[in-house]
Amino acid sequence: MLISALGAACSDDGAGQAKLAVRIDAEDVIVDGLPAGEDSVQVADGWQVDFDRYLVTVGKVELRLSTDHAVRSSAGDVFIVDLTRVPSGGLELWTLADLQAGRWEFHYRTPRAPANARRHRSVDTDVFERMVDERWTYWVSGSLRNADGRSCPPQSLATPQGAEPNGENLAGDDCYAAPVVQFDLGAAAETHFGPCEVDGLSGVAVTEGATQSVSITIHGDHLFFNGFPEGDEGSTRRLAQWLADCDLDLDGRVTTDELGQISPDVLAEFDTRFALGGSPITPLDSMLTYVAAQLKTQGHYQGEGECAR
Amino acid sequence: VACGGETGQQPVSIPLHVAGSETNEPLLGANGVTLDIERALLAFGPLVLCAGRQAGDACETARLEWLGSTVIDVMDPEPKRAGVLVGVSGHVASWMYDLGITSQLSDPEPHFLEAAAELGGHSLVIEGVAHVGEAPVPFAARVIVAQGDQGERGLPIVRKSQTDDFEHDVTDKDTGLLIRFDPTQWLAGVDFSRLVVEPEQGCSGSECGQSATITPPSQAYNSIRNALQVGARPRFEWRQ
Repeated sequence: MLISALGAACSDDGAGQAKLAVRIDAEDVIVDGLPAGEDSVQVADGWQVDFDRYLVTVGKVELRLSTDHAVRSSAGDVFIVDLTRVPSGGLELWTLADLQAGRWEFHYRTPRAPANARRHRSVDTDVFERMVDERWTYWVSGSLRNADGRSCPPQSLATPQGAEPNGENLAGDDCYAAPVVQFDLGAAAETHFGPCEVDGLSGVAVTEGATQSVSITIHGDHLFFNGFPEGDEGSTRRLAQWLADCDLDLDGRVTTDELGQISPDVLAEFDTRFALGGSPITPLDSMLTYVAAQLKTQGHYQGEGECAR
Repeated sequence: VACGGETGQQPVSIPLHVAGSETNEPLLGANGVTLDIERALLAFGPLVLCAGRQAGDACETARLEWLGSTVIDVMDPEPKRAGVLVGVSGHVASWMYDLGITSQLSDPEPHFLEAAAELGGHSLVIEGVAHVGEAPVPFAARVIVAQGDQGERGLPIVRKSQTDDFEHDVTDKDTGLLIRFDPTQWLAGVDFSRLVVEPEQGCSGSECGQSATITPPSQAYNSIRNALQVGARPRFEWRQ
């Protein structure tokens, strides 16, 4: 998805050491959803995806002076933020002051929610407490919609509870009408992002007496990628049928628990359209691990900038 | 091979060996179905070792590479020389490889190297007998593992993950790298009970028993293909 790259902004603060303001912003799909369609950034198998909660645990920003990595500056606060409620210009959450002028490498983390995490006002107290109790990095809820949609849970795990199938998929799993499938997924996806770069330039340059601004950007659609792209996402397809097929009890809602029960081996959708060889987690022993692996790739820098992981 | 600006780097050429693994116990399919493997051949290569901890596009300073391919009998634990890794000394922290079929930035079609051509255009050929119920069921799988037309063109298909351990300082004292594949888990997700094809009515003779052919699209094919990409990793053993 395209997102407007936020260039490093600069304002004159007078003479002296430099400051860096670090914002978090959400890829537009987190707020706007992903439409079904044939365009390369749409969901190719007919599902419209919308998110109503997209919590992320993020922080531990660190700068390393490019010319001397021993010179570092950090902002250790870890926030839990609901990205569906982040304003379009992003949220400024960290400030690093007293910086030496020069170019700095930029690093940050999406850790498991620690006990001392800070609740952003976009997150309700009970939701925040659950994130911390579960030590999740992400908690993502939303819906898949498709008027002709169906769920085809793997035969060996399905508990249809009397539901009548309306056909079967290519693997012979029974399918059931499912125009709406809710999902509610929590996962630990602890990741160190950095050094980060954008347009071939590493990190950020700060100048004496000025305040620079950079953004941590969290992408929202990697859950639906058909692989683990490193760099250009342009050739990646978005597919959502696999998630609809994870509704084992056909109650219209896919849960974290259901994902944990399903091996990718039994999902018919994980066919030759998927290239899983770049997964950041191996082995991929369950769909919960798969979701965590995809979530581990979502951290970016300044829009589409990349960070080593 | 692109080289970083580090000082003290030396050109190195390191023999590359490959091997399968000894499997003392029968392999298992899903639900504990026992398998006798008669033939298990894997096309392997090319291989790139990178300085950074993340392979793929982030591998801007490839240390070592071998652009060839070879067929590995993965049931044979005896090392076999595959070729020579060429590059420069220094730290390596990630790897990426193909299984005999490469993707080029400039060409949408996959390129079948010699090893895959030897296997009829496949990355893996595995044949044997599955003991499903009372009767032995011969099975055969021919699997292609390659970047598809919607994959990441130009990138090797299997890449080190963050959870894989791999670190080494390459020096001119390294006398070889052995990569050992273990096929034990490759068929562990295959539900052979769903594959058995009964013989046609009126059929007779020794060629007329049940059989199982693993082809796409099927759960069995996807399971093997995924196991080769994100299942058990090969072991990298440096020799000095």
